[in-house]
Amino acid sequence: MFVVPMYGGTVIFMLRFMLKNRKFWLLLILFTVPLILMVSAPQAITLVGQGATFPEPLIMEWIIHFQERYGNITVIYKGTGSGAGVKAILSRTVDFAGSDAPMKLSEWEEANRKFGPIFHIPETMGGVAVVFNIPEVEELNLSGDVLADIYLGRIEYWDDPRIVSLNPGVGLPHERIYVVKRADSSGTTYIFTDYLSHVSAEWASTIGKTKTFSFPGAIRDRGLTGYGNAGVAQIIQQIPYSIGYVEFAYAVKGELKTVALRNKAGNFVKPSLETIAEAAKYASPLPDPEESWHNVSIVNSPGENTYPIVSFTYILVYKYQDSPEICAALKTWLRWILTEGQQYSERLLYPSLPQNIVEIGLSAVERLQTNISSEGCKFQLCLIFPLFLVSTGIENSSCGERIGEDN
Amino acid sequence: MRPSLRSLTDKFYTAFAIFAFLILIIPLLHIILSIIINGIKRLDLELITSPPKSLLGSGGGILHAIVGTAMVVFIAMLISLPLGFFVGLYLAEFAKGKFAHFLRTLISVLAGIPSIIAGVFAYTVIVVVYGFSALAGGFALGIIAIPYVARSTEEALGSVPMEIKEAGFSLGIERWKVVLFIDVGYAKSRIIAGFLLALARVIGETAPLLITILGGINIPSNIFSPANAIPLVIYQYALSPFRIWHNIAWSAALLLMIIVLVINLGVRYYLKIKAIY
Repeated sequence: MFVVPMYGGTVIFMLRFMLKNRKFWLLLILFTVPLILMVSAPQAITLVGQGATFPEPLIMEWIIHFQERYGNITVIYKGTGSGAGVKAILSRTVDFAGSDAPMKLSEWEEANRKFGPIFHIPETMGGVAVVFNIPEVEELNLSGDVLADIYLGRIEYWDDPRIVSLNPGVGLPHERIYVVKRADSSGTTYIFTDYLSHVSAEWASTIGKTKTFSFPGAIRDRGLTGYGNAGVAQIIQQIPYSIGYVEFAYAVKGELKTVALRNKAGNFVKPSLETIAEAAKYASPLPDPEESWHNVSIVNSPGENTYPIVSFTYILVYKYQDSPEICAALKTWLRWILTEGQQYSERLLYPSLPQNIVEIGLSAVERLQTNISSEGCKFQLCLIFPLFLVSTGIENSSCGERIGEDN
Repeated sequence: MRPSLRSLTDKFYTAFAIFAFLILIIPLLHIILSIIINGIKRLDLELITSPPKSLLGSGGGILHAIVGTAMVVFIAMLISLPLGFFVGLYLAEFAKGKFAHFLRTLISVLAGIPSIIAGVFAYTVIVVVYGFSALAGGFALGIIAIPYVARSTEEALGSVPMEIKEAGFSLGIERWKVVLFIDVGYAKSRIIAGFLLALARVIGETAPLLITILGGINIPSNIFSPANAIPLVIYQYALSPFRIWHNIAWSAALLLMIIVLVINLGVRYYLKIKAIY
């Protein structure tokens, strides 16, 4: 039993040493004061989101202006990719997510089973520009089936009769076409392949719409891959006689030559903010917010002046919210981006939404509600704090009106 | 006199060594020079005093990321310093035989795992339960720093001359006091230098932060809220289509390079004035 006094003595010795040592106190203060400050600092109501990288600059711009107006709501968004956004929704690590493609039916059903319906709210649109680099040529017309055959490897040279017939009077060189695609899984590729599936039966049956694909064997050494939109844009700039696809903003900022594509009405249309926005006006009716949107597609829409490779980019939100504060803040945020926020879009090279789409989004936002049912809660707070379920057993109450407005 | 085969061989190997050195140094210089040339433009006061502002204006600065990086690295140090220090202390002074060998191998393995794995670990342990936060990022970086701190502590304590320990023992001082006050006291400056180098090692980490701290444009005030970090801002801005952001990314890279350089040079200078090397 002499162990106890021995350890006791040691502890007393250590304590005495520490208390007397001025450096020790300095270190202690240096480490604990910031820690206490960092743990106890007040937190504003924080909306956390992640997902598609494509709308990230626009969402950042929105956050800057939104937070100026609504001081006590903090919004955080990080571009991690559309796939990561959907995964975050499924694991409920976020309040909202961004995705360039609607959730797949299987994903949507899984989320619906766990958390209730996931709303798809279009916040802006993306146009995919087909870009090319032929030093001798400034303007190029292509049709969907020719573009598909270039990407299938059927057309090998720029002076192929099918390209020449679309470009009368243009001196196309006898050079091999270098075909560029994305190396990473991406929403841009999804929109592009969605379009090719609409215009080419062979594309639809062999590759289909997908976030990533491999080049068909016929392309062999003519296929190049770039990481991200920036990577593809760089390859197009550096390699003559190449063709690729990038988000519209990268084509503009990279000063790349864009292809005029033949739309459904038979006109050759280059991508621009107006021609991209046209696609939403003539889109077929959108499904109810509480249904799965996996079939929604606005590529190859009708309209005289419609650019054909266009898609919505969505904000995904849970219909049933756990906390009334988050729910109200989310409503305020989504309402703001659909109305006032739209004025910032065009200056950042995003089309602003047509009024019919804004109204569909707003009607979905109004349906957000709090619901602490056991089903919706199983995977969240109630797992850790069972008391939470008992004390706030609210059923389906619609959450508060505008909060946090600075008046 | 004709040069002999031996001197020719000698010359050949010298030339080869210089060539290899050039191969190494040219890309390095290229990286450093292009960062300086492109980064100097926006390395102004706004960069370090302002959070992001509208892209339609100047684009603002990266104050949010500087604070975020400081916060995350601070948490990483809180976790890794005590743990790494005592692991190193144990390895240097107490561990013996096969078990010590096993532990050292384990530390090497820990130092060798890809940093993203530490990020995934922090994700499953902290993010899934508590959400994205600076704490999760600091936890991930802390795990990465532990083996570095442990190893440098062990090496520093290993350099303590036996005579000094023996002097302590001959006075009848208990073993733990000898270790904690004489050995550590002797090797103090080297241990601190090891801490700082571990800090410089984790400050530029990107991968584990990508999946733990999320990001955002707000200056974090609380360790439980998401934060941003300088490497993440560089990653995001460099891949965007906007020139304003490209310039900020270059300047942020330059800033990060300067921070790491200052730490490294500071350590050298510190060790020099302490006359260890």
